[in-house]
Amino acid sequence: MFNNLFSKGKKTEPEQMNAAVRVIGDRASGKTTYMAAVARWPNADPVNSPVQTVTPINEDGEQLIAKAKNLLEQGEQLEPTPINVNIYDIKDYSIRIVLKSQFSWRRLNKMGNSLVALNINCKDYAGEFFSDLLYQANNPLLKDYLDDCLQATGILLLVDGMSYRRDAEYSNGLEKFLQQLDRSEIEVTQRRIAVVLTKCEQPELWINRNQPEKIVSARFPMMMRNLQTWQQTRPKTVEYFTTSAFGMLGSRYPEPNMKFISRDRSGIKEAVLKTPHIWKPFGLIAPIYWLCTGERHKQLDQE
Amino acid sequence: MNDTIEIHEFSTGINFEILADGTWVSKGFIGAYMNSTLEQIPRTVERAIANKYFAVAEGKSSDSPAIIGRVIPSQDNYPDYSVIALVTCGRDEYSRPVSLYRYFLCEGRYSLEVIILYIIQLYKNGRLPIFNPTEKRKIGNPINYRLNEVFRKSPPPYWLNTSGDTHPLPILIPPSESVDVEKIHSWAIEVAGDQPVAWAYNVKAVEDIWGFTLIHSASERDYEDMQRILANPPVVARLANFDEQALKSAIKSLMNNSQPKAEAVREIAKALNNEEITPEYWAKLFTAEGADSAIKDGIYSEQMSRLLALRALILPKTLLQFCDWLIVSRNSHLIKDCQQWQKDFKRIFVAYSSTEEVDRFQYNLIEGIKIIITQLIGKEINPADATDFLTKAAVIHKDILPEIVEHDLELIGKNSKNHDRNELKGGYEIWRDLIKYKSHQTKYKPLYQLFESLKQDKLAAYFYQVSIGKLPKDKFQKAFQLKQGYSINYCGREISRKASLSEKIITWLTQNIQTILFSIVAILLLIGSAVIGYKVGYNTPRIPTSETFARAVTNFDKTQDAIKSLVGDGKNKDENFDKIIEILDNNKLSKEVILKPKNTKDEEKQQEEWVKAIYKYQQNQADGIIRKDNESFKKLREELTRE
Repeated sequence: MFNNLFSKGKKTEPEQMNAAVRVIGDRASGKTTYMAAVARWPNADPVNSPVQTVTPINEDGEQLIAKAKNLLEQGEQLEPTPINVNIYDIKDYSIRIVLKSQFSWRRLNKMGNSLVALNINCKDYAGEFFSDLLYQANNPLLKDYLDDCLQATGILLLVDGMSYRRDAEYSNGLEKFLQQLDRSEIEVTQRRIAVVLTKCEQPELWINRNQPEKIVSARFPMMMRNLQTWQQTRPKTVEYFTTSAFGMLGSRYPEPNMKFISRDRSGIKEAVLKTPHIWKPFGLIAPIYWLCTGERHKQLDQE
Repeated sequence: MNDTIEIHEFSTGINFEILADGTWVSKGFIGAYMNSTLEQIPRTVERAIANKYFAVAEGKSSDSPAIIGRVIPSQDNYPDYSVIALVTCGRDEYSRPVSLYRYFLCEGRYSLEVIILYIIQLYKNGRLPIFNPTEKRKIGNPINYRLNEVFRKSPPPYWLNTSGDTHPLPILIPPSESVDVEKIHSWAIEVAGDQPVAWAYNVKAVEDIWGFTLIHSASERDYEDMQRILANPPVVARLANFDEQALKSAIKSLMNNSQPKAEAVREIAKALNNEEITPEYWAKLFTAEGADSAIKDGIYSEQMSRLLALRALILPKTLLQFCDWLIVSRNSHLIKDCQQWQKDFKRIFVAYSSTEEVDRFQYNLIEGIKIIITQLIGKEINPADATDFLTKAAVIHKDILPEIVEHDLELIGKNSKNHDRNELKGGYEIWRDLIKYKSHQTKYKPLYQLFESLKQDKLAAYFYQVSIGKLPKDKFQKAFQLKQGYSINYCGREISRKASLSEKIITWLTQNIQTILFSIVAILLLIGSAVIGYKVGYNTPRIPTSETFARAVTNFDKTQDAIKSLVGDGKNKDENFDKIIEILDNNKLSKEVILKPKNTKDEEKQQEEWVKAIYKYQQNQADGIIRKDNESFKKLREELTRE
């Protein structure tokens, strides 16, 4: 009722929030799969979900959806993203996410708008940037990547929730990244870092999915300490999230919508979607919303 | 037959680990080629790879190698190269599929056959040269292939149109056809004619499907999939041998950087000067980056503001759309950033481009200006909007607008009808009425309003004169910094101003000075003569003093007698009376008061009238009394007789 009262006579165009995002993280941490799941936004529930629509803005975004349809939904894995010699050859996924509005004291004066649009430009870096390039101080490519990062307003640091044994490695990588960013930057810019734990369909992660900070501090304590140190001089620039690009099957006794298959004799198993037609990812939009607004979205955190 | 030919090779660069069973897995890309015999991959070949000319679609590589052969034409001092890529699917340690490429390269347009013979030779030896990180190669050590046999050309099948008629490319080889690499290459040569040959053998899907002459699909299903794609050709055709990826990357770079990078601007300048790149082609590239969505959905991000600004500079027809979009954003930060970005872009463009490229850029700016002016004088946009467009969005257009308009006005002014229309920067259509007619042209009034808003006072004055008429004094003086004067020649047209009220008075006075002086003199003379006249009692109606007056009235009987004697008793008595009254010049005079012997009080006024008239008549020694035989009597008698 109040919403109607406030919105009377106001324009219907959605309120806009923009973010230029770089997705970083170790190889196979699920960066491209995360982005493909966001762009595809499968089995959307526009009635109950705070997300009204997800649409690609550019050709890269459209191709990402095609990738999700042609590969993920066909039970295939995505190929690793190559590390491009030209930073501008990297895919830059431009996506528009329209949300129904939620109450916010800070944006009280803007409550007339019933919708909020998040426009993101999101570059999906090859995992090698995080695992290798950051350690090659003399590689000219590193400078190109860091210059590109400086244009970002948000960093999505994706961490495979199951890879806790690599905490020290990630902590090192992150430290290098933050140091390099600091060195490259002439003026300190307010840049948010969303730490996103991926593959949270795994039961040990799923049960704590609503306490992302707790999982990170328990599983990645060294990385967490680095982030806390970073945050001391930059308050409110780091938040933690849990996601699952594959999601779960069932509600009473949920199980991961994912299966491991072995395609060759190497014994290595790959994770693919188990039941594509009821593919329902978890927690995908919450970190993007925070990167755009600086606020957590309670409903998206649960979605 | 025993010639040795150098065949170079290089492969996708990966880190890898050899497993216990002797197989290997990828442990990530190294961001450079590996196992290369070349110090440096020729740039033309590198760009062909970057443009995905050899790429199979993601997830579409397999253990059975896809083979792609192409001729990369000579360019920028690089010779023709023949290149064949063998693409297979490897795995990384996470079991993800990875498309891995092994390239063979030979100098020359007709060397694909050499590489094919080499591959066949290895194949016959049971060693198909697919990607293998463990096969080490050294820079500077190419394969010296000794030609032992001749490439056997296969005649094209009956269904393949090689008559030189135009046929849509690529041609898909039906799955029923038995084909090998030698055959596909032979057939492709026949189909390609003079064009560089490009074929794909055993492919599930390729990235650059429109860039091939012949394609052989790996399976019937793949054939059908590719048929479906080919049934919908792109609206804007692919450009052969154009580095589209470089241009795409440049656009992305410009979108993503608040400060334009010189390399990216250079790429735009080159493309702008490339006539092969049509506006439709440009439009396709901008649409691919989301320009249309930004307009349609009102996406007001910094990236989109730069993309749309760039589009407006390249495609002037989109300028108004960009202006409108930016202003509607109502985002002052976005508007300010976009203005600065455009200025920086222009500065870098001018600094790093050839004269020809700069001219092309300038041409586009002028085209944009023409659109704004045309719409403005056509009343499709109003002056306030046009001002907003130029001051908030089209800022680099605004900077050159006065110079362009002045140039044309001067040209029109010098030689109003006979100049070459092509010399007019704004074009003939805009200025047609200005050239044809000398009279007021109200259609140009919006230009006056625009230039006034832009504080271009001279041009505002020019169009005020053209569309309204003479300028108010303040506008004129402000425009031309003149404290005096009523007109000035500006761009070959006389610009004049109206006079203010005080100036009108002064002008009138100046113009009528002789009349005024004459009048003043005449007035002064009149006054002077009156004064003199009074002093000498000449010609001045005199008034008797009260004393004289009283005495004359007392002696009125003498006057009665004298008048009576003058009129006489004869038949002319009345006539003489009238004559005397006429001579005394006072028609109020009563005959009765003369003729009555005894005067009453009532008749005093009439007597006074006679006294006044007589006093006035008497020139010397006036006393208001006519006595028989005094001078007045004689004079009156004389006049009466004369009459």
